[in-house]
Amino acid sequence: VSPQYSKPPAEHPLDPLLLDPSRLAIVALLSATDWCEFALIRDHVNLSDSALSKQLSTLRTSGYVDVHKGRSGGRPRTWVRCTDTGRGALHAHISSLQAIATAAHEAGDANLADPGLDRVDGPH
Amino acid sequence: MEPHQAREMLEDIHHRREQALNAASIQGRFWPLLILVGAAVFSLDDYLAPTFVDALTLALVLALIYLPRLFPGLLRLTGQRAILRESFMPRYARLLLGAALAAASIATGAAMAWLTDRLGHGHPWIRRHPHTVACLPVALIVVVVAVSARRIAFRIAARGRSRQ
Repeated sequence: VSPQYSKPPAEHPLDPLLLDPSRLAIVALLSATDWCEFALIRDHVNLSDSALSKQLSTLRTSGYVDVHKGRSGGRPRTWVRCTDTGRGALHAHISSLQAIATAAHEAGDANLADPGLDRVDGPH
Repeated sequence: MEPHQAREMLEDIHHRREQALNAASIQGRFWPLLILVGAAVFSLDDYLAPTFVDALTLALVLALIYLPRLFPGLLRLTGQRAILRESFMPRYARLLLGAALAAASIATGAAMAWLTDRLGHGHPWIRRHPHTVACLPVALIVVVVAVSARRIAFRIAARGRSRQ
């Protein structure tokens, strides 16, 4: 694969915070919901309570998520939601990922049409 | 970043969103409660002014939609672990859901009122209280239609997102 594919387009740089798979999974899960239970995120993302708390703290510091603590059924519960900042960051991140995937796909088509390009772009 | 990594990340995002869709489904134990509340509201037409009952119905529907968004702790009442973002569902899926609910409500209400009126000859109390007599079957049918329409709307949303 040519190194040029690994560069995201300048107008949509990859979000460094969302390059972590756990954080990306959390924000993606939250982006489809208005509120999400802490335990649900923990179960789906396969993180321990403390690891999830740490990731949420990082995301909250950056303004990507909102955390609401309350009691329900006599037990303390935590609810989390994605902020507009978080949604914007995820949207830009998705655009960058799609741009990388599309660029590779188009370059792949071009290589098929003209196999000689492979020799020019590939490592020697 | 390599293209295959980008594609894997995009796949993971779609997968997480589908998980959120499934988590937003309402647990079965909530539906009997909704049937009882719906039946009670429907039967109020026999005792209170219709305008008041319409306003109460609208208030209940709005409360059901928006209160959990303001106070997430209320989601425990419906057995939900997440609440789906409105914009996540395509507009036509939401319209389908609303239209199915309205059609079921109007059709079953009218049919039940007509039926009780027919069956109620000789029973003055039934003729005076058609909504009370018909409230449970009407609420049951409306809730069944709501559950089915909601499931269809969710599937539409999931399919739409996975194609992104």
